Amino acid sequence: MHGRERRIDKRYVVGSLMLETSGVLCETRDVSRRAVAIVQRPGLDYLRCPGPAWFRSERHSGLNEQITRLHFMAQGAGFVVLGYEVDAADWEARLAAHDVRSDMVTLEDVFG
Amino acid sequence: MANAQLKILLSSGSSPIVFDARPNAEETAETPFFKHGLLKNAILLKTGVGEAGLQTKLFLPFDSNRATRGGVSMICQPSISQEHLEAFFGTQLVGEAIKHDIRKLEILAKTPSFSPFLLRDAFERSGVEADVRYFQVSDSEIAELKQILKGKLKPLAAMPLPSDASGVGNEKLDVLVNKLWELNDPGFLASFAHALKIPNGETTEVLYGWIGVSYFNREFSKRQVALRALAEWLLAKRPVSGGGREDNAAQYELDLRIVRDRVRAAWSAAGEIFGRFNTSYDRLIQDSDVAMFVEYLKGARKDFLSLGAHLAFIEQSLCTFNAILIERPGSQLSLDLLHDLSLSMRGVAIDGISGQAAA
Repeated sequence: MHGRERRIDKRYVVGSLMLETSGVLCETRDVSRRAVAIVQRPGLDYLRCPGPAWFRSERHSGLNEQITRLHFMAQGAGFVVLGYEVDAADWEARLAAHDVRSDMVTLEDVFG
Repeated sequence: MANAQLKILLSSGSSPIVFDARPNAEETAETPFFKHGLLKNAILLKTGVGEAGLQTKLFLPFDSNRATRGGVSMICQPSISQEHLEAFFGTQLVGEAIKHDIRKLEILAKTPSFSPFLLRDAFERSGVEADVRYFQVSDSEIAELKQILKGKLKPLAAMPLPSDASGVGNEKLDVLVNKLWELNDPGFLASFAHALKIPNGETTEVLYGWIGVSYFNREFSKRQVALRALAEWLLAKRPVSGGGREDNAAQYELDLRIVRDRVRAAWSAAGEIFGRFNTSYDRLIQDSDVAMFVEYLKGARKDFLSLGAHLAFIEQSLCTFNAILIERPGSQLSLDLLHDLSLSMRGVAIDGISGQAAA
């Protein structure tokens, strides 16, 4: 996955979602279906991203998912963006369901 | 406000516009919300008035067990003082209890809605002690809503701050989210305000306003189905008997139009606010575009207050609509209810409750 794809894919923000890699739990900032931005933690080799890795959520068990591939994409101010793959066709739907905006309904023109 | 309309609001138990501070015989008889005897049986109302105004009214029933039989009322501003209350009651008020009660009245007047979560949160933030049972919201509901609203702060907490600030990278993201929720860490908030170009001294109000708009989005969404039914009723062509009199029928049509236009304007204005709110928030998440978010923040506090007024208009209308639905179509009472609502929306006071001002 490349930076352009990251920009195109819809990003979700999930309050409780963490990424576990090399036995370290990292907080996620936002996540799309193929990339995740995590808070940078000292001591982790983000360039190698050795497996195994998981998405973890204490609050939403449906978000606990094994990551089959993980690779470095970019680095920002305090953040690292990693590309990833999970073997779950409904993964994006699950992210959307737990996105912090999922309760925000667009008000319709009920007066037509 | 007329007696019939007051009765509807009180019996509807509509939390966003009615705060009933009367002690409940079973639960809170020993712990009145207001400590001063003269305020003990107070009921507060939020009503939409005129173009987009929101008024908080303090209503004191003559008979605390039959509030709809009348009482006295006064408009309650956030700047309410002991002098205002003394002028209203026509007597000097002494003791600590009244001072404590005035702090409560200030919060009730300042908060743009009596929605239980919002009100309880406003009291918690102010540090003014109050029996939480009066807010009619459970601890678990509060905890769940807090969790949801705090989650929305995550993209804000994740924004890069000036290098000397304790931004993300130095502290855990959830710690920063908590700081944005609590709004009680001046050092962090100062850096944050600088990054978001929030004027000095306004950070807490601006961020609280943003959280409030986010909360209101849920409140309005919950009313969409009910409002659609009201809109269909207001737009429906119907034969109007109006008691058989033509002038009644004309008045009825006029009242329908006034209520329809006002509610439509309130709903549309709320939709426009949420549109700006959501677009700027989406851009922050999707493109890390801070500019639009900064622009939105400038008006967040004003939007928060406006939404309180819009919600009051809508809630008053829904309460009246529900009362009219159980009446015989075209009955005099249903005509009167609609007429009172129409007058109230235009800011026309109706004699019905004696006192310094109509409730």
